[in-house]
Amino acid sequence: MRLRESLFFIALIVVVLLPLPIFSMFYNTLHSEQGFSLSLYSQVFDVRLGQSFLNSLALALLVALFTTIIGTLLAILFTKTSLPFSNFFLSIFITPLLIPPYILAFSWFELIGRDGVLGELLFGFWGTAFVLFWVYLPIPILLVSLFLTQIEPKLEESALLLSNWRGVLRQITIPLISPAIVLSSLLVFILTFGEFSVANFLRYPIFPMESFTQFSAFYDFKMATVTAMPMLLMALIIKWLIDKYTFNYRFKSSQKIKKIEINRYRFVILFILIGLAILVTLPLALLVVHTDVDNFLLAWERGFDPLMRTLLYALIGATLLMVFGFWVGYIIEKRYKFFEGTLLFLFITPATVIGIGLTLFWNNSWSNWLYGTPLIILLGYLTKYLFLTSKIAQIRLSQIPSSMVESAQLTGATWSQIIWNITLPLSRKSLVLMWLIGFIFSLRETTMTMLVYPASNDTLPIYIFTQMANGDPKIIAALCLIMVGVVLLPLGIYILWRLAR
Amino acid sequence: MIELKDINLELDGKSIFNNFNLHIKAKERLVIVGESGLGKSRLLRLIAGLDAPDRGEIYIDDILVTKDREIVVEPYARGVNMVFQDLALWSHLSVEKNISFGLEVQKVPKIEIDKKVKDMLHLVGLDGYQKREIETLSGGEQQRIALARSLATNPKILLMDEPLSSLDYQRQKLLSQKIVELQELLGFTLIYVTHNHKEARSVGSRVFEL
Repeated sequence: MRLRESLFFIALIVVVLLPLPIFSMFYNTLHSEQGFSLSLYSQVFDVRLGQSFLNSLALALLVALFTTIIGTLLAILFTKTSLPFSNFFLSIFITPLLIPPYILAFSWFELIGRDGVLGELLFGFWGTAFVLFWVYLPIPILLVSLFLTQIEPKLEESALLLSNWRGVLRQITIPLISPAIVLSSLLVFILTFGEFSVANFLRYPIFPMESFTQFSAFYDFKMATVTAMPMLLMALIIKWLIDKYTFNYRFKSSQKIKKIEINRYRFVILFILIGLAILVTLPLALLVVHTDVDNFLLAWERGFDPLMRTLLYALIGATLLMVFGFWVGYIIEKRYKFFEGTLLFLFITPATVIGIGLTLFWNNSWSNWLYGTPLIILLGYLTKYLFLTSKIAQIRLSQIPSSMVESAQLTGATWSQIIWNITLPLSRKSLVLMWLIGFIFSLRETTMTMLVYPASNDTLPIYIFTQMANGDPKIIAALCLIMVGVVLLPLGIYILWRLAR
Repeated sequence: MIELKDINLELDGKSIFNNFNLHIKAKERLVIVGESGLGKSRLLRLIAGLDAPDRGEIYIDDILVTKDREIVVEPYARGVNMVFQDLALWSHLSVEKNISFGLEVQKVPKIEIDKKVKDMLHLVGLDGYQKREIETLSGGEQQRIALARSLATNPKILLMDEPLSSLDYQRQKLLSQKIVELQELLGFTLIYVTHNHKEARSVGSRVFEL
């Protein structure tokens, strides 16, 4: 088989194999020993489950609403205006997305404690919503900013001849970025709906906990699977909405952005942004105060093995995500568009559901070589995050003018020569970005890994999460600091690399 | 009347204008010709107020609209409109909405807007195109919609940046005649940029070589 066919074949296997556990899970809920049955589903309509479902729904709606409004405003400020230090502010505001969400919850707990009005608010609906707001605020900021860079300046300039910026923003700019606004609100909704660790730490009952508890505490796999089904249904609905309203967007190369002068309001806006930036960074920065050198060294010693495993799995995971992401992105762009939908569905499916699906499907005598080893964690990373890296590859590939490939074809170059000499070199920045995204998301992954990791193979996020139940807060604070440092270090190197170029 | 006084502009270390002066009379059809990269389009952007020079002054009807790097009068308040080289039609809006945008911003009553849109479409020979989507139009039709859009607000000055460059010769000829007809009918000042001398002679009452 030629290289081209082999690579297509590998990519096809990945895209078909990854969703299998989820489909198999659904199939199992419909089949009991007596054959086809819907009896298991009757238990889903329990009052307690109904309440936790409503809690999750309310939480997801509130967080999606506020992150979309504030995130869109911030994206416009950072990308479209002459605001000074906009890249600095952008880096500050996207940091919470890069670290495991429960670390932010823990750092807020360390800052305000459990007592008093604020402490009581933190442990409940409002506190969970508040922490998740910061965790997912980067999504609308990044997506809206990306779409803003796609607007041709002339579309706004021709409107500027007729109206001031307020009118142009309302009638031209915002309608043009509306797919990004809808997409981010849907993504934040489903990610909040499926997020488990923050609500778990802040003791607020949400729906993903039900499935998690049935699986890991009661070992009732059937019930865990059935309670995962409403989450799966929700992911399907959101995927349908994303397909319907936002997914046909074709990305172009970034345009030169027409900036809005904000001289008059500059100081007021800076003042507000500094205040918000302090809200993001203060709890994380104060983790330093909540520990000391002795506890830091102790945390380092205890967390060293999980940290090394985390780094190893993230390194391999990122490389796999980059390699497969490129090929899958290639076949999506060139031929099989519908694979993109499958990968998007897996990305928005709650991690609890993915974890349970992987366990039930691969925990067999014939597949113990996979399930009993860290390979299952790597498969989990691919299942959950291949959408992100393949999407980056696909966007980049769609931006390479077909004339570049065609002119190479006219010289007589073979397909693999064109890939090696034209396509890959033109995609190198995207490949670095894909690897980095893969690395950071593999590093921060907690919930899915917690459900599948083999004995003695826990990662640092899992180690911290288990310590949070009854560990020493000073050691936990130190472990959280190590985790934040490990995530931010490669990002810092990447930013320096980009600046140096 | 438009007056450009001692305009200096440098881009990427290259001087585009060096103490450049230009006087354009009201209702004149001035065509600016020249090779690529000489600053023809930039000149239109300076008059429109989309860009500012490093140094120099621009007057429209004796009012100072740009002084050095400062935009004294905002683009939308200059009575200027422009047809861009790539037309810059808003593809998320219908033909009707593209034409009515400027009128809606000026809070013109709905009934007048509808009439104006109809009149403009009639003027460019595209009656009944109100509800059409931009992407369904041919290149020539898009050019005419861009022209209708730019004329809907009755600009005193119309700037056209190589508006016919993407059309075939026959369509170019027809549309350039249409532009001259409209200018004579509506009486706006036309500043037209092209690199085609033949086109320049057919449109302009004066040709300015840059």
